[in-house]
Amino acid sequence: MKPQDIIKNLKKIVGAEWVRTDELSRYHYGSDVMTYFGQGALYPENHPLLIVMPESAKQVQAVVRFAGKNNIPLYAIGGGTVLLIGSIPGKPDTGITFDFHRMQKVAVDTERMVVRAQPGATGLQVSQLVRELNIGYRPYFGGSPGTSLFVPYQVFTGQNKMAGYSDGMGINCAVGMEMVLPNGEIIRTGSMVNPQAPAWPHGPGPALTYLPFFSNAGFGIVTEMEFRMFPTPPEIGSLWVTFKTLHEACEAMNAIIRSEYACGATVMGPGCWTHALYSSQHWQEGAHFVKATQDINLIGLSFRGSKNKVDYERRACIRLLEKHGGTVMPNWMVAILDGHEANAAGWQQCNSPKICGTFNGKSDSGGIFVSGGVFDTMEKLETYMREGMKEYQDVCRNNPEFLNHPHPIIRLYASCGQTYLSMGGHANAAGEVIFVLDFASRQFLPMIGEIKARFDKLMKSIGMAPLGVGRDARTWTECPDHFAMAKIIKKVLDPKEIMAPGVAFPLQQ
Amino acid sequence: MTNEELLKLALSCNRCGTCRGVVQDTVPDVAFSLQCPSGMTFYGSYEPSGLMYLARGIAQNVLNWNEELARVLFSCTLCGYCDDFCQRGYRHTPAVQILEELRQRVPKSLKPKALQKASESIIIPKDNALFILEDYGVVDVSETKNSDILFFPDPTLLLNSAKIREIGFLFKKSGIKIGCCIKHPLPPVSAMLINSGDRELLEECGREIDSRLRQYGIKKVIVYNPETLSVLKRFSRSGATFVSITRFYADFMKNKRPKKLKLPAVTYQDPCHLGRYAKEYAAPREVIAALGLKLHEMWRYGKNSLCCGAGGGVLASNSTLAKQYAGNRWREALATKARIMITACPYCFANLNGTKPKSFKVMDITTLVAQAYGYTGKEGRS
Repeated sequence: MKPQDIIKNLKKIVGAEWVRTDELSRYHYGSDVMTYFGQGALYPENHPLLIVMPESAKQVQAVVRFAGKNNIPLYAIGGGTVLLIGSIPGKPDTGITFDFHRMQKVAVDTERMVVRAQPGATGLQVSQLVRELNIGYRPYFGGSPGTSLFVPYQVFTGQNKMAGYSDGMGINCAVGMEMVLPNGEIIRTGSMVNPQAPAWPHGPGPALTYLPFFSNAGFGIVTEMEFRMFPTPPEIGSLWVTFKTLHEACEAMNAIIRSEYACGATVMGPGCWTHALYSSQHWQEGAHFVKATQDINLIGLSFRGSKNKVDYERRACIRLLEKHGGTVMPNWMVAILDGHEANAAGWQQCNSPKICGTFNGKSDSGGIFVSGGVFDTMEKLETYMREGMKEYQDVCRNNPEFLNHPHPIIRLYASCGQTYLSMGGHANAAGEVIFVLDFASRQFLPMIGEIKARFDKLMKSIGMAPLGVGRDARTWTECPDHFAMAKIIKKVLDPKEIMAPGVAFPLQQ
Repeated sequence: MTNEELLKLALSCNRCGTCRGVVQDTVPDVAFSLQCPSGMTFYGSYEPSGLMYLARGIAQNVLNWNEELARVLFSCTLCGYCDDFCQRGYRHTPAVQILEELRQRVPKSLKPKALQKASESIIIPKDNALFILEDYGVVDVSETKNSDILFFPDPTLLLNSAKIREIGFLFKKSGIKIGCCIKHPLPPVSAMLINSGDRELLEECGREIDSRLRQYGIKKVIVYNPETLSVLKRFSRSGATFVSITRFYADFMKNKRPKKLKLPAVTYQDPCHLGRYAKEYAAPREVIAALGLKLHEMWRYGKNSLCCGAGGGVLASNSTLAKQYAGNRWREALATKARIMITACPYCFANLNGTKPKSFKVMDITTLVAQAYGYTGKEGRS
């Protein structure tokens, strides 16, 4: 079908003004922070053919049916940015991208204690509405206030690291969803199977609510979702413990997880970049924190509940962590990290949208995602971090001008987040390496390219699956059975492979 | 600004989407939770991140100016909310700086006609009505140096004799010696020159203004129009202090209490250039309280206030769109118990008055203050 016919048909479905084919829109939806950092770019800039902005599930359904009939790939973006590939088409000048900003209704059902939201809403909108009600309950969204509440395929991605592994993880908040399948059929799961269904995710028959999570729109487009609410904790606390080695910190973290104490626990390698972003209330605080933690390994964790529970868990964790060689940081040292507690409280106040933070205070530094991935064992993660650090130092030694650079803002931020454990359920550990680079120091880009190449090699040798699912077959190699099952489901649901090809699943060879 | 510099700034935006919403603890309805006038109307690339990506594309030379890009750019009211929001606890994309740079770069032929003629806004009409001020004891500082406080009129005021009389009356009532450049007015600059990208002209006017303020020994400048106030505050190097006329009212009302007005409950529209740009949120509220009026704030007020839709030259260049934007504000005003909308900006006044629901009245803060001191339009002349 000719492009003009595609446009004509889509205009009939969503209205002429809600189909965008202009250069700026295609550029806007075909690029993001990860598509521009020279050699550090995580993935290429691919523009969609056009953008549609539906206002209802019916319109989404009609677009999906039209795309299916004409073999046109579909991509989507929700409330805000989608890192880890997310919304960027699998190849240049391909497909239709859904923008859901016209679908951002949020409604609170206090009888069933759920929030129902459309895909264009942001977590901030939900938090504000529930706060207004002042009912002693709140949704539990850790992470950034503005990032998509849920992009239709990558639910909560990038928001959950600090939310907690017990009851607060994003995936556990969802209780039901409405989804348009690739054949155009609309299905409802869990709490949304009928209007009075209880706020349970499983519903009658097989539990399907979690099916689209982390499938990157590979199985369908979620057009509405319900989240349950949790009691607002009367008390919040946090604890920050340093370790001499990453190994000690990881062992201690395993002990914490087994104990089921605390929430939002994360291990950070030297330069606690993620903590700084997720937990500080201001990027300047985060920057100070990063600089102050260049030579330590850190576990940060939160507590919530009654005062007694918080006190008890905190004391218990201190004992446990000290047994593994940890040293508790005094409160005054971590006062800047009160955003961590706000996250634990579930009101979503942190800096994660600033993933490319302005660490030099001039709005001109950017994060370069060098390497990251998931591992099936903690040992592999440790090897990756340890060997990676050696590679990094090796390259630095060969670039003395880098080491002697007057601005101490160029850093390797190696971090590993155990909380990934319960995010996708497909890995035991995850690690990431990110540079924050002053743009005035672009001369170091080749050096970062070299480091990136070394990390890539390391990843292959260790058997690591890169973060940012899709594009790379290795993503799934850690969990072959999981991938095999996913492929079967994909084949049944989307035989023509119109849903996010090259994002959720590798492009057809 | 070089392409490299523009790119640096534009890359600060990672399209997180935060600026689409309102940072307030509570909002009563999700309909009130969006903030950007053009973004909430057209979505997509008309949202703040779209404009930042426009800058990124221009800086990288992957986008070239055309009518579509110009339409997106000039649908923005330059209300500054995205910029202000972005730096609240998060990293800061200097959106206003970027947008102003883009307005300088857009080819003249692609600018809306009204903005192409923006340079005419500084031409002082021969039949201007500033001489009326002399009736109220305002001296011409270019001739008599007996005041270090200067009143700075704007283009909307020069021919508005009724408003000049109200202001003159209040100046006289205050008992403070105030001067003005009456026979040879200062260039009546305003944000119009920013909106149109005529930055060089603005700087040229600024140099003249600074030089004459120094020559007349002016220490304090009372500015009528917030769009002028914000420009002078940002660009003047004269050493004088610039205050809004609303701040002037608030201060003198503390010493000379006015008569309480008997009016229905009111709400207040924070002009973007008075509030967000000049950080003057308190003065109008002090005035409203001193007038004895019951203020019902709209949900988005103060630093979270929603633009009326007139800014950025939108009212001048696309009044239909400005009216559409104003509709968002009226929905919010109607949700209050107020029946009068007060504002302190001539552009807000014009746009809101032109779109008001039947049940509402729009009033200028100067008119209200003048009424409270007994102004009828005749008294007070010397």
